[in-house]
Amino acid sequence: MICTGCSCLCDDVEIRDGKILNACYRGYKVYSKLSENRARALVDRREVSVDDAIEKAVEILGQAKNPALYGFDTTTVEAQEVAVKIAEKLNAFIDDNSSFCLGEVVEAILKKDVPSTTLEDVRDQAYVIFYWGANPYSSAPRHMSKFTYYPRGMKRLKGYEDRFLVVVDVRRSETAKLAKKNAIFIKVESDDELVESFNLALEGKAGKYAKEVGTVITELKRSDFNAMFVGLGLKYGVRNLDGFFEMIRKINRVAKLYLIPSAFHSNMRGFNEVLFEKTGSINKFSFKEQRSDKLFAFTELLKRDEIDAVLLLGTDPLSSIPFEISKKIMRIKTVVVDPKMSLTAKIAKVVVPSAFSGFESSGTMVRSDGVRKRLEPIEEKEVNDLWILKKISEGL
Amino acid sequence: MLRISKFLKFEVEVLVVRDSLNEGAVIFFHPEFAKKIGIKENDLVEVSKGDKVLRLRAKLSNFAPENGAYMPNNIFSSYFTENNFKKFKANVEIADGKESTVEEILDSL
Ligand code: SF4
Repeated sequence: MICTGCSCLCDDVEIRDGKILNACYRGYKVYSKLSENRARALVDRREVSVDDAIEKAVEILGQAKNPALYGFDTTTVEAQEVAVKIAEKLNAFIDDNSSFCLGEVVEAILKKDVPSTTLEDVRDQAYVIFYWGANPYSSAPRHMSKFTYYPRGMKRLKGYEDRFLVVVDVRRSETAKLAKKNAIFIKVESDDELVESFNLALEGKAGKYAKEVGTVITELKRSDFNAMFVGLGLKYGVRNLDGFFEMIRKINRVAKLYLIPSAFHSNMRGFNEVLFEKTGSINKFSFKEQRSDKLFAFTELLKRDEIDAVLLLGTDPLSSIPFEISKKIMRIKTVVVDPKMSLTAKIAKVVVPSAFSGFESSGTMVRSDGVRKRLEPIEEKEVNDLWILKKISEGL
Repeated sequence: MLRISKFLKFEVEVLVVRDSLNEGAVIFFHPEFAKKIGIKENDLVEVSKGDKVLRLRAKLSNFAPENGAYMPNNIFSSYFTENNFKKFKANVEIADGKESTVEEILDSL
């Protein structure tokens, strides 16, 4: 079974005699709590049939003047494609978590602004394993053991003994604590200063982190295959990511360094790819205006009271975005499609209960590095994201 | 014994991080920093920012920033975040009573 606990999409997780094998604690937690707190079909917090909830959802979205669709990072590519069609049909805004997560990194890779590679190639070949603002211990617990630092690979026969680990963070995270032998931990106060130090070092000048950067560049030059994984610590640590991408391109003039986003929701990259294929943009898109803009990010639309209805699928804004923004959901008509009774579901106008993609429904997801995976669910539930979205689309 | 720190308030920078193992109304301090500001493991602390106040359970962790704290990414941390979703400054002081609940936050809507 493919675990959809995070964007590693580990393909060796098994359920045998009721036991979950090979999953990390994060995947285990998702699976072992699958039956808890399941969503029920609700309209105005009253229990209804799934059909009635969908009918109400269609009515709300169909009558809205400025509807938005948001989320979709834990569902399948097939469901994401239908979501984009609904947004187009409604002339609506569509966005996902990537607009405040690692969307810009995925975009730079899709536009080929920076070189990227696959996790299998990293496992087989990469010498320097570089985590910047990322703590896979928590966000993707098997990242290092299955794909990057620890495993043996074709050119890395001794596993981590054949690699050099670099960790950059503002705190000594669990991942940073692993940087001991053949490794360096760079504790930064400002990520921008470290970017500047790399740029200066490549021009032969010394910046604030000259010593650390010197060590890293020397190690990078020792191999023709190195990989950097970036996380939200970087995204929120630098003023803008363009300068960071420029630094990656400069490093590549002296040593090969591939960039991969570290981890996010199971199929965030799938959403970015689906929308990119259709519109040339990866998120915050308005079908009415036929363009993407930072003003069309779901959080910005809420801030400016620009939308009157929203379809949320597989996301819980009340938990994940600033409360002053998310509480505005109360003022609009909200349809939540989710396997769980999330906090946002508790205040929604309509709740449509769905299945867990990967565990209870099949389809395709895209791993953090862009590799597509076919899901192998342990059961196939008829009422899943794709079925619900198709019904909504037909109703519209 | 009277705890002097009970009457003190400190401004602390709090990071918001993904932490799949720990959920709920908790805040993690580096042991050295906690010692400096007089907070012990499992103390109840009041975290406030403007007119927003939550009572959280204090935990000690070597993975916390050396001069600050972190909170798992959930409704309790989102309650305080603004434009930077991953970092905020708040005042911390020792409190009495019980941890804040999700319901209290939802009731404020
Ligand atoms: S690393 Fe991610 S995909 Fe792999 S088992 Fe853990 S949660 Fe599941």
